[in-house]
Amino acid sequence: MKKFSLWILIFISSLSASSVFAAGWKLQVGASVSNLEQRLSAPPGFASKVSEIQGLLGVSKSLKISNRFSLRPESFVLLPWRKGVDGTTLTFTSHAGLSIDIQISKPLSLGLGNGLLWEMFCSRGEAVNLGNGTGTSTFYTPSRWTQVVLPTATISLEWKFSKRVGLQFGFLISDYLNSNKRRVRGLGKVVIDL
Amino acid sequence: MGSNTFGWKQKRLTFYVNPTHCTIPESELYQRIDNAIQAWNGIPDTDLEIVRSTTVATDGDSEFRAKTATQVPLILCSQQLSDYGSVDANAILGFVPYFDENAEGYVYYSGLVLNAQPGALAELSQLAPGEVELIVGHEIGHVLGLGHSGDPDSLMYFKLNKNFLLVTQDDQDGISQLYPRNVLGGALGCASVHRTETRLPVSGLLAVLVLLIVLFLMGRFSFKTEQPL
Repeated sequence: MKKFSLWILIFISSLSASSVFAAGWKLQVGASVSNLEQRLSAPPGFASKVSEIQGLLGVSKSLKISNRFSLRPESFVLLPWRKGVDGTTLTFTSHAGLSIDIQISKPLSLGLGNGLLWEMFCSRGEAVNLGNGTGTSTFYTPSRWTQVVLPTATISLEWKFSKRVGLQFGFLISDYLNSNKRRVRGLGKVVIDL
Repeated sequence: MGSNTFGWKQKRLTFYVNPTHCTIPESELYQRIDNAIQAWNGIPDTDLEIVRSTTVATDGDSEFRAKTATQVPLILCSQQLSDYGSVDANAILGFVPYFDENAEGYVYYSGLVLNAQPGALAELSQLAPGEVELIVGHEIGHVLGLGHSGDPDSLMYFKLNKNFLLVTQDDQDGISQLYPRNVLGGALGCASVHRTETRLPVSGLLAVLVLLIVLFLMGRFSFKTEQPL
C-alpha cells in the first residue's frame, strides 16, 4: 500500500510539474501566524514563544464551475524555514489544499476548503552542551529526519481590488476533528494573477 | 553520536502515581499531574496520548530503585534522594533517574521522582502550585524522551525560572520529532517513521484523495491546446 501510494504521488507530481509554466496561475505572497489562540492567551512576553510568524509563498489556480462557484487548488511553503533554538534543527512547513470559492459580490469571495499540512523536521544528531542540575551535560538532537502530516480545513475571504491583484485573509485549522489538538493558523496573502 | 531514541513504543502511555511520602495533599498532586499531562496532550503534531492511572500504584520507591517496578512510567516522591545516587536535595526539585531503552531504541523503564526530603530547600511543599506543575511537566518531558532546551522560556529549560507551565514551540518541536503524527501512515517520503500503520487510517485516505485531486486539477486544467486555424 505504501509503495502504491508513493508511485501514484510520483505520477501525479510529474503530471502537474509539466504544467507549472502554463498560463492562468496565481502567485501568493504573504505571512502566516501559527497557534493563534495560544498567541492571544499567552502570558505577557511569551506570545512569540508559542506562536511563529513566517513568510508565505505559494501558487493557486481558479477553475470556474459556474457564475458563482470556482474550485481553487493551491499550495504554499512557509519561508524562512523554522530554526530550532540551538540552530541545529530545521523545520520546513508546506500545505496543499482544495477550496471552493463562492462569489459573494463582484470583488469579494469566500473560500472553504480541505488540505494537508506537511512539516519536515531535519536534524543530524548534533551535540549540544546545556545546563543540567548543578552542572552541564551533553545532549543530542535526533539523528534522523521526521515528518508530520495533518489534515486541515481552510476558510478565507478574498477581496479583488484590481483586475490582477487581490487581498486574501483566512484561517487554516489543523486536526480540526480533535478538540484537544486543534490549532488555528492565520494567513494573509496578496494574490497576483500571473 | 546523535540521539536515536524513539521514546515509548505505545501511542497511549499510562503514568502510574504513588503519592506515598509526597508532602503536598494527594488531590493537589493529582491536579498538578493532570494539568501537566494535559499540556503535553495538547500538542497537535504528535500522536502520543498520555493518561494517568486512576488507581494508586502499588510499586513504590524500593521497587523502582530495584528496577522491578511493573507500573511504569511511575511518578513518586522520595524522602531520601541520596538513595538514587549523588543528588543534591537542596537544588534538585525533581529528576528522572532511569531511562532504559531496548535494542530497538524504545524506552521500556522510566519514571520521575519528586523531592520530598524533609528540610531540603528544594522540597516539594516549598513550591507554589504553578511551580509544582512546571516541575512535573518538565520531568514528564524527560520520561517521554526529551533532553534539555537552550531556551530559558522553554518548559525543558534546566532551571525553574517562572511559576507557570507553558509548552513553547521549542518543546512542541522536540516532542513532535519523537512522536510524529502522520495521517498518511508513513506512506510519503524517505524519513523514518518508526510507528508503522498496519492499515491506512480513514482520515489518511481522505487526505490522499484531496491531494490527488489538487495535483490532478493543477495539471489537467493547465494544459492549453493549440486550436487549428
